[in-house]
Amino acid sequence: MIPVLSVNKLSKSYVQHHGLFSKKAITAFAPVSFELEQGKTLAIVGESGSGKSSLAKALTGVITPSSGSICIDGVNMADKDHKQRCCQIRMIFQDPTTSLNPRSQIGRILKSPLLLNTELSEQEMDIRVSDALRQVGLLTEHAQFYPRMLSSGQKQRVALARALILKPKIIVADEVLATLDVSVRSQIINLILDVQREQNISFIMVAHNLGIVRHISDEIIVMHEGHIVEFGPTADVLDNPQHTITQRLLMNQQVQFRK
Amino acid sequence: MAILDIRNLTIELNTSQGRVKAVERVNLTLTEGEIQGLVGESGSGKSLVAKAILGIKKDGWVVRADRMRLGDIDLLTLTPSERRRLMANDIAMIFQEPSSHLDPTQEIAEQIEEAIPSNTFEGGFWQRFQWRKKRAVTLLHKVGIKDPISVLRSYPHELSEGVCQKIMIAMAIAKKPRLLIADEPTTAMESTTQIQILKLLHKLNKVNNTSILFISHDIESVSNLSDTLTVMYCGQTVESGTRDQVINHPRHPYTNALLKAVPDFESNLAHKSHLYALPGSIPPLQHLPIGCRLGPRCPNAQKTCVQKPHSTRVKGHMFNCHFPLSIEDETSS
Repeated sequence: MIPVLSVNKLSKSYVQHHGLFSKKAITAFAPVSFELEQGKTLAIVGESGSGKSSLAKALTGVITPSSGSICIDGVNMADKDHKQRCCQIRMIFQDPTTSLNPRSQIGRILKSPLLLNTELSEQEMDIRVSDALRQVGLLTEHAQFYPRMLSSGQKQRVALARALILKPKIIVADEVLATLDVSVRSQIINLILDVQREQNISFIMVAHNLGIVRHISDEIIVMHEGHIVEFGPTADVLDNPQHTITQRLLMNQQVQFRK
Repeated sequence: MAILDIRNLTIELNTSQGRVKAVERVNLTLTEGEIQGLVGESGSGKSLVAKAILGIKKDGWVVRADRMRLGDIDLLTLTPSERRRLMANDIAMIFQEPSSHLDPTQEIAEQIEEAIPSNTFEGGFWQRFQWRKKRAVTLLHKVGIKDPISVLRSYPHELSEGVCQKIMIAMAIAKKPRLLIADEPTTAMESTTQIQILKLLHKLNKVNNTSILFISHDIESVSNLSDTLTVMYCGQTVESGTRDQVINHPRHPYTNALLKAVPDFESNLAHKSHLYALPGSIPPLQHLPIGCRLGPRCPNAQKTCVQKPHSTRVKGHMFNCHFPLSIEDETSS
């Protein structure tokens, strides 16, 4: 079986200039390789500055990688243009309040990826928009709302609908659960699990709450200073951590101040 | 003895839609030397309560209470200048996002030295020379900063979030307060620094016997640290009691939902199964439901829930619910 996503020696480094002549190369993440099967969830965990967000951005094409290749269904994405890539892999950003345009209605926000990437007619687009809204548990009438009229949980649902509307194979979610309230967070987790079961979408989740990661992910990547220190099935890695970084992350999750 | 005793605190806000009861009849009791956790999601009014205790009021706020005492002082009858003196000596507060609460144009040394009150000086006149500087170094030592001299010489933007929060805590404990209010001190921090800050607060509580009111949205981190817990929802207290009572035997459906919503390592939940979630979302201030404010989202709601429930008290465990969850229910489910 061909994995839906295979990443081969992907890396990103920046060049920082100091003064006129000296410059320094900074590695966001060193060459990483991994594969992801259809309908599975991959979690990326690590401390801040470990390069997990940069990796997520490089996968979706927000930043161009320095070297390496990303293949979706065996097709190298570097050969394709942005349009085709958008239809295959989509991203949800951390903060729903700032990732939605406050001046346009939800309907228009959801329609814009369709306008940019597909050749659908106006009616087909409307059907797609209302379908997507219903899928994430909102009403068709919400298309007329502005983002400020929705609660943060509903905004996150809209962000998920925007990712789903192009029927992608992979969705990259960068810390989407961090800013949500606890009771709303479990709703969104349930929604993500439902969507994955119905449409067989692969998810890549950047997260830091290991309890949630353990619950929703099949495989896990632990990153530290740009390197993958541990990679494997979630249950194996978290039950039996081999690397000190993973052990430290786990220890921080369950500190007891008193017995 | 109770260091903080609040009865029926009500805060009303004047908005363009009329007057809104943002906090309704909240009770809070903090005994000397304990850590109390105040848990609530966004919009539950937990920060408003903290501001009311400190006496930071904005125009258009109406704060009323039956009783509000700090130790043996009645906070309601104080004049503004007396209140301010009390705030300066006895209460300290640390905030969320520490780097935004430090002055970006000043060195840390200046800011800490400014926060050290002159009446905390001990010793003879010959020790006066540069005592603030020495005090600043010891304070930073106390909060666990390894290299105080270089930290004192830097600006806030050069330091990490965790170090900035430690500096805020150092400034707060400089006056040796009786009550420390921590308003979400660890949100937006990574777990390693979060644990450091929590450990530091725990140590302060044990060593100096400072009472701490720890405000947070995350019941997981609070329950670890605190002795007693108060849970708020939309401006009403739903449950309060000791840590064991609230965490292991919750009687209110909202507390139960908060606890069940977090998948932890011990739980034997099937992989990728549905988590327990309350339907709906937190109502905005303008559209608060009448009676029990959890009503429309509550799984056990019935007709009587449109009236505000009376608080029931069992062995110091207080809960406001018409149909509290019983222990029998818990063991069978």
